[in-house]
Amino acid sequence: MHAFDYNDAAQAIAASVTQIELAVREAQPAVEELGALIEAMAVGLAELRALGTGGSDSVVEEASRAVLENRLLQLEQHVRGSIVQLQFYDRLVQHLHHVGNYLDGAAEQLCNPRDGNADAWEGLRSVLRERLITDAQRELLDAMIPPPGRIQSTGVHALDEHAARGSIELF
Amino acid sequence: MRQMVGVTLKSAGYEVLQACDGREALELAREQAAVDLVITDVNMPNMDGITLVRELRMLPHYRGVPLLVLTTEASVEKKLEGKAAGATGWVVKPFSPERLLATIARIVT
Repeated sequence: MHAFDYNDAAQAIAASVTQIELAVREAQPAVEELGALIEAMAVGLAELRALGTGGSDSVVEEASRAVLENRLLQLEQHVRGSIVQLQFYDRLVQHLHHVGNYLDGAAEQLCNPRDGNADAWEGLRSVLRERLITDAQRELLDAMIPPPGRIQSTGVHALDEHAARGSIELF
Repeated sequence: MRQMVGVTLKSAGYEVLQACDGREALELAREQAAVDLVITDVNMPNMDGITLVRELRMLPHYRGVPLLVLTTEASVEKKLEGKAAGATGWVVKPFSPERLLATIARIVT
């Protein structure tokens, strides 16, 4: 095996490891937020249960109904918040899927090196970069395996990403 | 993701028909009367969402049905591909249930 194959393979593996670490880090805030929402929902449910065992005084009943309505609205908001946060899993799976494909390509390149070896490794890197879905992921890859030319569009990607997330556009 | 969209729609009173991938969705569309709205992911096994949109638009009874694409893809190129395939709208995840329901209320008559 040529010396540069080891370097390229080592870079590919190291870059993949950092992408996996980033994927886990990016998922962490959503998981924590989900945990907090579930806890809030549990508290809300406990309060509702307590309301159900209250006395039959009409004033108490009226107050209980208002509190009940308020708690139900809060629970509804917590459910909707949970739906937003749970979508981190989708992004995590996609990110890891792209890294997995990259590693498959690297393994294939090591087993069956093609002519124009350096181009083949760059091809793998650029396909992965194109598929990554956040600017942080792309910047990390660029830091681990610098691209051959200067990447002009990083700033634009960052703007696109932050502007687009959660957006709905009707054609 | 399908579960989360289903929970959101059912909470607003919609009847929801689900398919596990694009191929199953297309089979359902061919066998049954048109629904009022289709929401599809892009990355699915067996048939991706953009191919599903393209195939649905070829069915006479789906030519006028709103087709929303739900995706992590924020790139302009991918969005244009979806639009060219016949998508009605492009929703970038994570979607907000309130905004999604408001959009659906606008496009479903």
